Amino acid sequence: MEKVRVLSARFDLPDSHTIEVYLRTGGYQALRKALAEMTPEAVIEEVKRSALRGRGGAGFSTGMKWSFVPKDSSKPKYVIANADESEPGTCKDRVLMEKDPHAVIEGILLAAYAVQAHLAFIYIRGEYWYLKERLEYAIEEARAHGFVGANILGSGFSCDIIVHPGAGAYICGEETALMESLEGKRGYPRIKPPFPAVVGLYGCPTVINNVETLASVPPIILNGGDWFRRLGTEKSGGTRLFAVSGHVARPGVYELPMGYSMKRMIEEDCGGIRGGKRLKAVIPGGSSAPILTAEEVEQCTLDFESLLALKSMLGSGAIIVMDEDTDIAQVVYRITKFYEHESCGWCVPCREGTRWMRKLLERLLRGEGRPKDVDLLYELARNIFGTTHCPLGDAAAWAVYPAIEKFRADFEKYVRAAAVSVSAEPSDVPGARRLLVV
Amino acid sequence: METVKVIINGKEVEAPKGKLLLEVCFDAGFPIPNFCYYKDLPPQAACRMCLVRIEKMGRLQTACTMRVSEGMVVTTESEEIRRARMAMVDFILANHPLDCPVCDKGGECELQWMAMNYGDLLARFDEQKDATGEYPLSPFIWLDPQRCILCYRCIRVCDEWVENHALGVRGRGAHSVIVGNRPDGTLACEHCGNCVEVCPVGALTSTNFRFRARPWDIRDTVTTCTYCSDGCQLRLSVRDGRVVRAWAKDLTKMDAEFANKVLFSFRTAPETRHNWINEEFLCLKGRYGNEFVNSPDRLRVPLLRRNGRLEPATWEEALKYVAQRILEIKRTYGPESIACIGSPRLTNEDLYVLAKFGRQVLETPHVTHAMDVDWRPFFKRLTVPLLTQPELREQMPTILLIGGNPPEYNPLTAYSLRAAVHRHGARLYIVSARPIGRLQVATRFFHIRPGSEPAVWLALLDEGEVERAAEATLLTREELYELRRFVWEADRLALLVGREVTGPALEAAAVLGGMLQAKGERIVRVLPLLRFNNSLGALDMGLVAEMLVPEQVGPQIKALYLMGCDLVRFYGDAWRQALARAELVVAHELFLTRTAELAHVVLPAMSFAELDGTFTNNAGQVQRIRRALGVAGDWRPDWMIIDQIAAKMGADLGCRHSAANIFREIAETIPGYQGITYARLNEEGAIQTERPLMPLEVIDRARLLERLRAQVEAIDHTAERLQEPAPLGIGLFEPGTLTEHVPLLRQAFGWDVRESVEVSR
Repeated sequence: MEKVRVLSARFDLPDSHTIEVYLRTGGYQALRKALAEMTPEAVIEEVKRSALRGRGGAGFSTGMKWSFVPKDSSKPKYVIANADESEPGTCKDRVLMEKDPHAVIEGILLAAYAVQAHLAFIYIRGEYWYLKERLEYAIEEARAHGFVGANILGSGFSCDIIVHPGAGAYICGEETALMESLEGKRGYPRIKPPFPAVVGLYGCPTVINNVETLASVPPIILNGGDWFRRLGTEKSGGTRLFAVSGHVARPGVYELPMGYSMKRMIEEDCGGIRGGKRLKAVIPGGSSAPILTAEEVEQCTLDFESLLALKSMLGSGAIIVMDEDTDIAQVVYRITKFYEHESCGWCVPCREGTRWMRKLLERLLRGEGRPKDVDLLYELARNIFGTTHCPLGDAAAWAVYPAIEKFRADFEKYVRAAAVSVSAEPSDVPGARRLLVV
Repeated sequence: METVKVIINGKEVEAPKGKLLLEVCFDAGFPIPNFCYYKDLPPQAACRMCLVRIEKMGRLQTACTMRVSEGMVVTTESEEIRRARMAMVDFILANHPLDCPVCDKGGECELQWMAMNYGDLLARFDEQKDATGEYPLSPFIWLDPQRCILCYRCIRVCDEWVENHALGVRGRGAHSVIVGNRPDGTLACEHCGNCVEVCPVGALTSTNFRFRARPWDIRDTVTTCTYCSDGCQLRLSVRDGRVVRAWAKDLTKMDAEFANKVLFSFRTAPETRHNWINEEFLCLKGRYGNEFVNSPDRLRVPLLRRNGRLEPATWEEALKYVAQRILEIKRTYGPESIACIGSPRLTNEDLYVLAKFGRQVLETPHVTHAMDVDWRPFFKRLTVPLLTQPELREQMPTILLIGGNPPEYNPLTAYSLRAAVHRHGARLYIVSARPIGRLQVATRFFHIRPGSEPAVWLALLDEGEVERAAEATLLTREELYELRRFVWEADRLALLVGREVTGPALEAAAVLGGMLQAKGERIVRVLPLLRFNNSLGALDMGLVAEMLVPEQVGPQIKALYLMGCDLVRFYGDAWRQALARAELVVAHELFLTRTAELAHVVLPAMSFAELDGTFTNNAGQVQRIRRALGVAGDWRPDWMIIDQIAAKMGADLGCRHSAANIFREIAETIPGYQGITYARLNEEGAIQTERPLMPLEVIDRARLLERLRAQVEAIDHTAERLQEPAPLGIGLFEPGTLTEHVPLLRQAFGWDVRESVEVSR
């Protein structure tokens, strides 16, 4: 498979974040083309043809999402770039905004043109304060060149962009919680339906896309949707940025075509497992995706369909690689702690379930586990899955129960250790259950 | 209305399109367990108890957010759903303290019920619980965060019902805690306690009820509130002869099995319906202001002035003394020297008997009641029927409020206004001299000069007067034209009349409705925002003579018969001297008030919690009050006292020893009350009296306009608009004759109440 650099093409150029470099390397040509030659509908059609799917995690077709925005609505429409990149292991948007902010801005403008929005927001993760400054600087550069603001390039189309920082909540990466936060409220996910395309920010039709998704749009408009789709697979078009972390020799952000072999990526691109160890497991899509065993990695390709077949997901494209020395129970504990900390508290299964799982794992790892605890943990995760208000609860469950299915021994070793040391505890005697713990 | 067919558990059901699935299932006889769903509040989908399976949908769906559409196939009971519900109860109980034996909610707790019905037998949570203590959010409301299941009902109720926006969430995830709106997490609000009412568990509790009773050892009595004229229904819970709480929860709206098996089983009078005009709403006074009936300051025996001091006496002595003195004064100075003044807080029965006593036995024309605003011209010229609260909420798309401050003085009206906007998108226009803080749901707000309400009525009545009105009100001509259009083009209009206006402006308010209806097919209803619980009843019962001025006492009036009215407090200190000039002052009272102190005879009367009777609210609806308490003092109903005095004077008032008999007579003699009986009131709850409406032709409108113009001319045209809204609690937090005897209110608001006067024994 040929490795084409689409998103990362400018990453190695000096001063790649400046508008001069961007313009010199074909920047804003797509915007020029769209405004001069294409109708908004044509832009949407081109994006549909590209088989571009959301790079934030859910992998929904971008063109479809844009086409859901009602054309006859009398309300204003908005575009939001979701730059609240907080999925553990994910750092691709950061590189993109750092190295090529204008690609993001051009993508936002194209999306705004496609749905006829005149105001766009970049909701950026609070910890990325330095990128906020870079983006704002880039927006001013673009404004000075007539790409942002009123009557862009004399086309009559106007659009402004506002950068707004989050305040450190993972949940605000969820699109409706993000909108609540942007509106100045507590970041709770909204009840869906209605979906943001119809009722979004301030109750108006809103397109919300991941930064990388939007940055993929200018090359699509410039080179055509078919070109983009052919870079990847039939259903997962194009290339994408993979943030590889963990026990590989060369962790980092890699641009690879969709459908690329995961094994090849680990062994060739990332230089294999650090210290010549054996691969044990991979979490393929940020901490929210179910874990894969080394055997599963063998047959896995980097596209939405392949991972779906393995009952996992490509998510945000964050690949966490773990070698043979890794204790999966510890990994699950760390991830569960994260989800407990980040649960918004809205719904019962996520709020109470993540806390319960964390406490159970804590006890297990302390060596106080009992034989039934692994099963209980498994059941808790199953009970959370599919019953929560938003996908955060599902993610918390996905981090746990597939890990137990695939690496049960890692959990049970703590139980066995415990069986010796605390078997005489009164709470282990049948009938002596503590029902009331205050 | 468009209907759709859905299949629930194999049964085909027809339902209005877009109705919540949970409600459709409930109506179809498939109740779905839930915590966070609450009728008319925005859906929350937080508790996940209502998960159901809908065909063609990937995962279980929450019935409380799903709206029915054609052909929906729903399963509400299955192994999968049972397991999901069990899991939710398991999660909720995980960190719950399970302190049911000491929890106030124990016995009527929704979580207990859910745990019993949908939970597992054994709790599987074996970890350390995160314990938190309980603490007060306000002098009235306590929070135990560990019991809280975060259903957000309290927050939504605070936002939607009372617009206090006083509750929110602090912290995240499992550390989410309900907090108040002050920086320290306590509450700055009107303390209505509706959040406590809707709390499904024991997380929010009321200070006055905490640790004072268990649900199974209280007895509830449905009665009518004794404060404002809106006439809320409430349940008084009594334990050991003391009122321990007032509440208004609609038990019939809950899972029928839960309500019947658990909540009704330990109550003597199960309710089969809850068609209350206030739905489930109560205000601060209605909820926390009833414990004056328990007060140790209550008068328990008659007091008779001997040697200048009030001393305890027997009923026989007191009654005989009163009868004898009245006869003497009547004989000496003539019947016109005696005046009877009732209180608009008393029951129709009491007031009717007082009026009858005054007219037939004393034969005096001075039979009246203590009024704050003289509403007589309004009711005399009424041209359209009065507006009830349910009509206001459900049937009035256009609403105009002129004057008044409903959130403070008529809280139920404020609730209904909000409900009309939230439920049906009603357009609410407010005309007021002061911004009204807690009616932000209003569509438009017209800020006028203080005291210029008559000019608004003038402009509404006559287009030619817009110029004059603009000058008087500080509104622009366009704004006044907009108001006129709003009123004159409405199909269904509710007119709410505040207490700021008097005389011709009140008449205008009464006449405008008739003029609008005469112009075309439309429905207009009017709601006068009267002050007291039985202000209208007092007018109906014929206590309509001109109110006395203190100067009349002495030269003209020799004897005052006061029934429950504290003239000194109500009308000021001028009455102190007036009472001193009278030869006889008889006072029926609950407490030794400033007026009663100066009386010659003080007769201990019964409070609303000890009586049977009726009140008539500002919509003209008659509602029952019912005896909730046993006898704890030697007190008697007001009507009985008068009946006995009359008997001593050789007259028979025909009371025949029961309020029901008196009401029968009221129904026979008072216009509009025909056909109303206690039995019907028990059955129907509130029955609206038919008011005589004045035909438009009879009214001399030219003359009315002339007088109204004169009233407008008299407005102080230099006054500036009041920019600040009235402070929170201007009406609710003020001590009154009854509320100042409620310990909780006294402490909470730091009322400096005079110590009760020691009575020698």
